[in-house]
Amino acid sequence: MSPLLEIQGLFKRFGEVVAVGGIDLAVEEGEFLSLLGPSGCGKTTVLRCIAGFEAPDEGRLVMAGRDLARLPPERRDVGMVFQSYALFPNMTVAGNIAFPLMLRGVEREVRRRRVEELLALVRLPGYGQRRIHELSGGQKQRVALARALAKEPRLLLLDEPLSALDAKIREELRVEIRRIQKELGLTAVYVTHDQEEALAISDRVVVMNEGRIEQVGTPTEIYRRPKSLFVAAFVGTMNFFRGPVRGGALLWRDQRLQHRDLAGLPDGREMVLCLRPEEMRLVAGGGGGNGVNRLSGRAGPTTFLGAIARLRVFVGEEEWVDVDLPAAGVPPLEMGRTVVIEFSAEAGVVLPAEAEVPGGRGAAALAPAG
Amino acid sequence: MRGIGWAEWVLLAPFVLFVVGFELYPILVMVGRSFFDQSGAPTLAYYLQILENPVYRTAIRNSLLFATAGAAVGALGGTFVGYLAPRLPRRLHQFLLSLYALPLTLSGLVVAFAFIVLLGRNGVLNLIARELFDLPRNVYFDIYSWYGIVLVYAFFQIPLMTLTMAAVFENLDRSLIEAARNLGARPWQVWRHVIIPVLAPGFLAGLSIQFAGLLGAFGTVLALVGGAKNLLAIQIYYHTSESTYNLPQAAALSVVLIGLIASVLFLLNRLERWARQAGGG
Amino acid sequence: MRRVTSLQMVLLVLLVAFIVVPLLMPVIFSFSVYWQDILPEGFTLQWYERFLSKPATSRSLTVSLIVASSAVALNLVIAVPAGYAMARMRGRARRFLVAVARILPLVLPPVVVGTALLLAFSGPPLAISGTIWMVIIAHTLLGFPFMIRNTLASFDTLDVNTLSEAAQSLGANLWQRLRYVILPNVAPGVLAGALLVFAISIGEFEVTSMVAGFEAQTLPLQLFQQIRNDMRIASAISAFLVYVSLVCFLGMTWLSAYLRERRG
Ligand SMILES: Nc1ncnc2c1ncn2[C@@H]1O[C@H](COP(=O)(O)OP(=O)(O)OP(=O)(O)O)[C@@H](O)[C@H]1O
Ligand SMILES: [Mg+2]
Repeated sequence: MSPLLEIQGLFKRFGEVVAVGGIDLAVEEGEFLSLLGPSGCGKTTVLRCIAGFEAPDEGRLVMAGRDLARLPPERRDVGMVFQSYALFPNMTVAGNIAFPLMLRGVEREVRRRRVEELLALVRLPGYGQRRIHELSGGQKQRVALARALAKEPRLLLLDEPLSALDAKIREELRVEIRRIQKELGLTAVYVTHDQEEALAISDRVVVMNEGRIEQVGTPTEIYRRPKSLFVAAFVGTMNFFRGPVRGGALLWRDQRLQHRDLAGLPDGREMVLCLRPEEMRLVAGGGGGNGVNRLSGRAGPTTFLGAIARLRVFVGEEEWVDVDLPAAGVPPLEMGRTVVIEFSAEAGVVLPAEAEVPGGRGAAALAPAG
Repeated sequence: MRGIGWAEWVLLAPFVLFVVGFELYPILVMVGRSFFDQSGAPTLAYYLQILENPVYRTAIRNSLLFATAGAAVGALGGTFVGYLAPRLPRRLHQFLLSLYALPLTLSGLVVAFAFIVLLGRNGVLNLIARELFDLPRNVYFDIYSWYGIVLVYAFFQIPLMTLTMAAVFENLDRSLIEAARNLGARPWQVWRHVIIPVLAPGFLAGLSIQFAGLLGAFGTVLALVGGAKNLLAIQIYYHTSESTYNLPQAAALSVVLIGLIASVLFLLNRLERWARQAGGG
Repeated sequence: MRRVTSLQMVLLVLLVAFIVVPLLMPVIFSFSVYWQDILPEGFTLQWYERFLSKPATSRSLTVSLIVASSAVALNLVIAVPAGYAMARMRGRARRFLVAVARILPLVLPPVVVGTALLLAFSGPPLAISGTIWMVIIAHTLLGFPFMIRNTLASFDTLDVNTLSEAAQSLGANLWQRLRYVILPNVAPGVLAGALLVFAISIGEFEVTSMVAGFEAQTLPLQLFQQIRNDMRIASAISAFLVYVSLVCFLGMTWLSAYLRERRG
């Protein structure tokens, strides 16, 4: 089956700024695809090109076999949900939802029924006569969603629809969005800069950086097998060990760190070993664990995260490693105590050290040793 | 979609055409006419007239004095009311501002009428004062004097300034003051470094509007005293009317008036920048 | 809330009285049979009757209404689209246009505008000085800083670009976006601007007195004469002008309250 939407070589600049620098992407029918990336990386621009609000400088957009280039936004078969809701303040909730139907000349009675269905779908039954300013942020976004769905678009575009809401509502609503998408078998492209949200909601995630795609994959792939240091650093918490390869191991400070993917790499090549906090363990009392790699350091502060506690271990003056501990039953470690952490040769991924990691998330250890 | 596309130009077209055709074009014609005499020969005579003729020089001086006095009264009164308004109960505050918006559209003639009734030679207030203090008939507040005219104009100027200053005071962020106090600033330092820099731009903008308005004002003056008070705007007006018809001279005087207003606006603008920087420094 | 001292309160009351009392003068005068002493005497409507029955003044009322309505209509055509365009623009172009709309009326006082119009339109290519057309154009000119300001303000409280795009993504073409989304949302603000333009036009004296001929005698021009000739008719005209201002302001206050309520 061919994809619903194909983006080929999309390129868009604003004056000097290259917002989107050549993107190829296929959105499959019925999938939930997220565009994830830091602020200014071009996510919104991609979405606006699909919706027709920006004209690409180069490249093609093909939807259901049809080139979109000459189609004005109002004739494209897409629905859009905006971060700022963009509800019409002069209309009631029902008026907003019925708007696209009214434009198409749908009969009043049919419209009314459809509005009721949609309100039920977004779990706001009976809210039809409310004015927009009488709604909370979460409710507004539900109405906006219902409105975007009213014309039954083949493709739903959402631009950070939840980022103006507080954490609790945000989580609640993202589950709802996912439910509705599944229920209606919709195809959705969802823009967010919140990696947790992207991983939680999507079938596939597209990680973008500076107008380009860094990696496309399922949430698990993105989290477990990042293909670039950028993705590794941007998604979740990651510890980085950078150093040259020496005899099939990574030379980090005066330690040889083992990883199965290092075997066979030529000596002297700069590599980075990336490890999630949950891929490392604290060795109790310095006694024997089974990990091949061991590091010792001083215990830093512990952050309580609910099910787990995250311990920061200082392995040098200003270099640290974050390690997850089960929160239950572990007494907080004294700061400054010497601790030993270990991890296996299968844990984490090894990436070439070609690029700097933007933001340097938790990763002072990334600096080359010495 | 941003910037000026063809749609914006189409929408702006009537506005641009109108401003160019009925505002800029006439002004250009006027400036042009001030440099040519009745026979069409180029001349600077009209400007030399303004320099040499004491009547015009007095008119310019009077206009500047009148505008300064009027703006001072307006600034004082308006700042005072603007300062108090946000402290009043909400409804009273809103009522006050609505009331003060009224003079904005009121005809200057109506105001002249009102003050003649109130403070004319036999005006109500003068009669009351005469009764109360047993004053002789020749002692009264003269609404036709310069003081009187400034007082009448205060009816416009105070509300105008109030509207500006009320908004400024309302936007004066209390937390800014509290933060400054918390950081150890004494009250005078708070005024010097926090309050004045915040107020200054609005105040000076308000003052600019006052000056510009007063330098060109003549309707109410005309209704009160006819041509008896020598103001630049009155001179221009009389040169465009039948008896002392001299349009090129009116044009030259108009150019001078524009120059005067522009200079005052420029100076106040400079002052505003300076005040802003002084606050930051 | 900080306290207001009693001295401040007294001053404030005086300053309020300074606006209210003069506003009452023409009204009281217009209903009084006789007002030569401290207190007015009698109640009458005859000054209004005279104002409306005297050909010169009653005609000037008609002229004023025509001029004001035309100035409002022209402003709707000129300033509303301009306000919309400016609201959609950003950066330097917008700042320039807003500055033009704001500063031009400041540096060009009525007396200068009057002189310029007189000079430019007394002969070819367009000899309309002295006609009602000239007066209408002058009033439109004087009104539009206010119209533009109101229009811009109501566009500014609205995210025009996003709302337009939302409507567009729902299938609305340009006309439908204007008709159903943009105009209904700015209508109250525009209406407030229209009231302001109307009130200003009805009371305008300065420029009118310079450019109007005999056929374009507006109400304020008659008032100017009557202040010298007959204070009683003058009082009726003045009072009428106060009423117009009042009605316009009540309308504007109501509109802004309505807007505040709708925005929540
Ligand atoms: N209309 C525009 N005019 C000029 N530059 C623009 C415009 N829109 C976007 N840009 C620039 O293009 C780049 C990409 O912008 P875009 O809005 O697509 O980023 P984004 O990934 O959506 O960021 P955010 O997470 O902050 O919303 C940015 O550098 C931005 O400044
Ligand atoms: Mg964005």
